[in-house]
Amino acid sequence: MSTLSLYFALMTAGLKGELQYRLNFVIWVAMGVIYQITGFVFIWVLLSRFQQLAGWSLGEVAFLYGLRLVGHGLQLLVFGYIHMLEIYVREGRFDRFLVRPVPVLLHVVVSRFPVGAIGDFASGVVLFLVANGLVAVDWSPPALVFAALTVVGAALLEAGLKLIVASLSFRFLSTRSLIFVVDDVFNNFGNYPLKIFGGVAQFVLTFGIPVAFIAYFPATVLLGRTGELAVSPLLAYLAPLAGAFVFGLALLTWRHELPRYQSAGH
Amino acid sequence: MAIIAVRDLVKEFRTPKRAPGLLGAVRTLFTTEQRVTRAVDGVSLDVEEGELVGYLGRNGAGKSTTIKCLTGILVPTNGQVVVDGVVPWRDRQRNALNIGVVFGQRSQLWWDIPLADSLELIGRMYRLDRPTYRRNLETLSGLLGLEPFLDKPVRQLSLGQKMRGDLAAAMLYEPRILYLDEPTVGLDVLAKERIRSFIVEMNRTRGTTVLLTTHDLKDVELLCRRIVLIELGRVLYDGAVADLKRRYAPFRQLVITLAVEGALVDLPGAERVRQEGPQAWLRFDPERVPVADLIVAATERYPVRDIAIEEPELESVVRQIFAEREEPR
Amino acid sequence: MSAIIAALPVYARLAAMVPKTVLAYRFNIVMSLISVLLQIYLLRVVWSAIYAERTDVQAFPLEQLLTYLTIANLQIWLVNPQPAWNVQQRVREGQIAVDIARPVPFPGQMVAQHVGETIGVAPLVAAALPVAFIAGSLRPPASVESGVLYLVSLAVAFAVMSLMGLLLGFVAFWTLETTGMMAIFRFANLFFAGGLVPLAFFPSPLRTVAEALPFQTQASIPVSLYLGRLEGADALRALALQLVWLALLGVLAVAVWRRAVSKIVVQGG
Repeated sequence: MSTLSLYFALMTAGLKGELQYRLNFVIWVAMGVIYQITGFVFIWVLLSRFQQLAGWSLGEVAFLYGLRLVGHGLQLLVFGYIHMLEIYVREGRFDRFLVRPVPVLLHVVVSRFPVGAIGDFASGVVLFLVANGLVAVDWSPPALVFAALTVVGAALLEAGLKLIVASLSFRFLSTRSLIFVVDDVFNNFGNYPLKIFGGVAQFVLTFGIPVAFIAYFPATVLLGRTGELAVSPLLAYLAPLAGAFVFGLALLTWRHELPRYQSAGH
Repeated sequence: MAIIAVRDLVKEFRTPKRAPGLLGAVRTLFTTEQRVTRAVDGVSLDVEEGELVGYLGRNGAGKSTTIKCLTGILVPTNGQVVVDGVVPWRDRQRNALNIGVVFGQRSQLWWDIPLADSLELIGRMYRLDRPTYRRNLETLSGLLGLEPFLDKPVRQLSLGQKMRGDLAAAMLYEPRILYLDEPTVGLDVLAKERIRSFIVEMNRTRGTTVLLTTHDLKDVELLCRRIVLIELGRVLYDGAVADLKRRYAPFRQLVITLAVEGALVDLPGAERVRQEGPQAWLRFDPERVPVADLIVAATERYPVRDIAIEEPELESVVRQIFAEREEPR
Repeated sequence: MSAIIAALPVYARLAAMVPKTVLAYRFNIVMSLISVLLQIYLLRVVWSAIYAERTDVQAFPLEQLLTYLTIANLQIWLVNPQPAWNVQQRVREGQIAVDIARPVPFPGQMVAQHVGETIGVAPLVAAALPVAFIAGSLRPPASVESGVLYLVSLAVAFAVMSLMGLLLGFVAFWTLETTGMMAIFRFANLFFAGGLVPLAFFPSPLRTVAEALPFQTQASIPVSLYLGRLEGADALRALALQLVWLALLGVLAVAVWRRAVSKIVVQGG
């Protein structure tokens, strides 16, 4: 429990630091919002002209998009700065994290407050709520719980993959751009109903880079579309677990790779 | 039981061999040839609680690597390290609670928030209860003169102020061991003095074990009684500073200033090295010729106005040791 | 103008220096190229799904559309406003004062660097073409004439992007916080150049906006020429539009640069 309160204390300190630069703060939040909205504009333009994508209406695609975005925003809020690991290592600031009575990973993640993530998260929530008005979802208590788990699972899955790539930077020094590619794949491919992809691609996006588990599978459950899945609907219901699994794997990778840290020079 | 026990510490670094040019870059993609460097090659060391040890070495000698193994930053290739009953890299957090680390030019304080807030965060991190935290903060603030800039964000502080802040942060939770990595680099004389007296104070009143790595031999001379010299990953010398000087530079110098110019100063048992007008420098071996005898002889024979005794400089001693190492074997 | 011509050998040497730095950053560059290829693939999949069982899209056949998107995206990646980042970096690191003091005009230095960087990266694009063919689609130009028009249009597009890059970079003289603006620009550029949705499919109000912006010169016009969707008089009109934007941006760049330089001189950098 004290770890949690320490986490909040450190995050608050980071937030306080960022608030010093008030204009900057506002700009970054706005950037987060605008960035996500511009991503959605594509789908909006597309579907306002073509009405539906593989049987999914604009509302349903927006629902999927919003659901993913909330999870993504949560991931960014908690884990946004994991890509800084490489920079800390290069600038010699990482040593400090190893001599503090705080779990090293926690320390890295909390070292700065990801201001832009507020914008990402907020726009995700807004989009999701708006989309809700366009679709018919039965929000029974189990559905609500499932949605909440989905968001957490999505955050864990994205965070887990970023962590695995970041862990490899102890061995390979420069993996940051790979993190961005992974981020890109999620940001791009995660918004679409998977059935538009061919069999091989669907397989890769389910069991290779598990994008499907982030929002697509849960969306099919909530929208009652599990019939169209190429895999067993059970997988869709268990989607949030995938996030926990990947994150667990990521923690193991981190623990395994950390001893390889070489701490360049002075 | 030594509080820091190091046995046959070995640390190897592997760097991929890179061939130059475009062809080389392509080749690096396929081969996994690696260059292995032994930064630390069998270092053994015991430090008792309350000691103030100077750890000296040239750049690349392996001293920062040793310290990094001791603090848990690096995992050794071989050998054992036990610090206050803890293996540093295995029990990182437990080790962290026992030690304070100050890196010469890398502050541990948060950049954009006031110093006081940074210290409070540290207090939280190290699980200090409020009364202890407040008490320690007051003491340290007084000793280091932090009052005037406690409310300033760290990025606005001078190097000396930052160093004082870092020392406060390191000692705030009363660690048993303090590692200092080049703490006086870039500071002016006054600031250095202040830092040194603080370190001595901590060692004296709190019994904090201090391990100090530095290039500044004045630091060592004024602070440490024991010095460890490291070169090419091996310990060259481990013992008292005084013994070091005696072994490598056993001579002292007597500086005599005459009231009246004219005579060349000569004393039995001493060798005149230099004379400029009324001032003469005489070299002698204090083991063989007691200083008192020389002074008596000088005042008997000459109109002496002033006498001074000079110790050999640690700097020249160390330089001599390293010079010996350079000699072809 | 004569000063620029006199400085050409210097520019050439500046440009030639760049490919080596490109080599140093090759991992990052390759990664970003992979990102583009993935995006092309995604666009292909989405558009193919959209087109499935549709009969109202004969005006823009799927194969043509896919080739359009493939070339457009590769082009947007290759012909980008790189000077924006370069200028911003030099301002941020304070080297700008030294750069301006050189005998060669600073904007020219930046353009030369841009040319060098683009040439340095071009082989990567060439290598990626087979992959792009699989990820999206590639067809040869509609005719020899289309191909030639495309190359001309591409050159003008490069000049336009270079100028836009300079202008964006000049903003750094007034504010240090440019990352947000760059992010918006990149998306606006991609979107309004027709890199995600061809302009032909924009809803009318949006299309009017798009046609009033310079971004269409980036990809929409050149690739439309390539595919033969613009021919004869239409083609010439499109090229003229590109040139108009080139001239406009050129004038704007000179004006802004003069203001920027005086600002530095007054403030001391």
